[in-house]
Amino acid sequence: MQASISCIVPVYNGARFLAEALDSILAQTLPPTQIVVVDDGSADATPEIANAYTRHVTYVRQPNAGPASARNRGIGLANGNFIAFLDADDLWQPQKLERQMQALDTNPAAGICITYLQNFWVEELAAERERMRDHDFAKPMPGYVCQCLLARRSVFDTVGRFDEAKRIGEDTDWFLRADRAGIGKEILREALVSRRVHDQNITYEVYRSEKARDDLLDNVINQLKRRRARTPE
Amino acid sequence: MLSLSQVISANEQQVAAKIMDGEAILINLGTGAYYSIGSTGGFIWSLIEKRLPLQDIVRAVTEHYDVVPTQAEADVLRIIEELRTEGLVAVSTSNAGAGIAPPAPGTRLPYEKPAIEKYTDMAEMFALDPPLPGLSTRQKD
Repeated sequence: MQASISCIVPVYNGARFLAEALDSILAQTLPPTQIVVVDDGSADATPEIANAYTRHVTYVRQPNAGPASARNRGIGLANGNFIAFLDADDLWQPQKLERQMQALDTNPAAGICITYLQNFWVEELAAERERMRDHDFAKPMPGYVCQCLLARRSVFDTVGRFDEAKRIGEDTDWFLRADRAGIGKEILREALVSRRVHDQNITYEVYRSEKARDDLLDNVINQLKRRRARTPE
Repeated sequence: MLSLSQVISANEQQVAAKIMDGEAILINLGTGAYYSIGSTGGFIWSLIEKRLPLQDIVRAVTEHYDVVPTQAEADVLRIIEELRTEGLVAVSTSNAGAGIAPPAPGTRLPYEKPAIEKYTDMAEMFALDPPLPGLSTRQKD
């Protein structure tokens, strides 16, 4: 079967960085066969920017429903037998997909491949970048997040899609479910994804929103229950 | 060294917490470690969230559970110190909360020595997010 890769780009008010993200997809040494931009109800210039890429990109728009819903919409539209994701504020290194496809070709038992990721800070947060210089967050780390994932499409049939009730941590939840379902994984220790840290990162919501904290706590509580079921006291 | 007049509060910016069936589940958002503190610990955490002086926490534990005051004080001091080391509570000398009403008279509950269980198996997943600018940048274990 010929390998075909669909890349899903969920975006919400991502006008500032979207073009860079799309350029990093188009610059892949193994480009995806389909790019789907799912605009999750942006109120900024996101549609105009996406429209400048109509030759390469399928653009769909939905009322704001959160990143899990946008990714699921993208999965529904994907026609590839492999699926990847890139958030509109992040970047792929040029060999990202090629290296991941090699890894999955070499290991047919693996359903997913993740890469390491490297954080980088926007210029406005230069002081923060300096402060974090020697911190773990400034070093490459395993990317249990969607932008580092390449998955065989069939994995979504086994594991299911992203939990749209979660405002945050929906990718953590998905990776945990994949683990529970026994999906084999390849981890590439190269930082093939660059994640931009800026003051609008949705992940910062965990510090501000009770709903986001509850979603995270649910993930922990489920994990704790599993641990206890495995090792009865 | 903690003193009994110091006020203990949850390190709210850095901790997500939930009390479930009396047990407190905590996540350190900066390190990705998560914790379970059993039923007595859950009771103590509910007092920490009220921002109380240590002596009030000790008194409430003594009133709530079947434990002698010296044992309660030693255990409370130890567990608060552990929570502080893990970056989960803050210690100050002022701004105490409203205090707590004494419990209704009745039987005290059986005492279970409070203990913290720490888990780091999900740290790789939880510590992926950079700390909010200005938060403690203590390295994860």
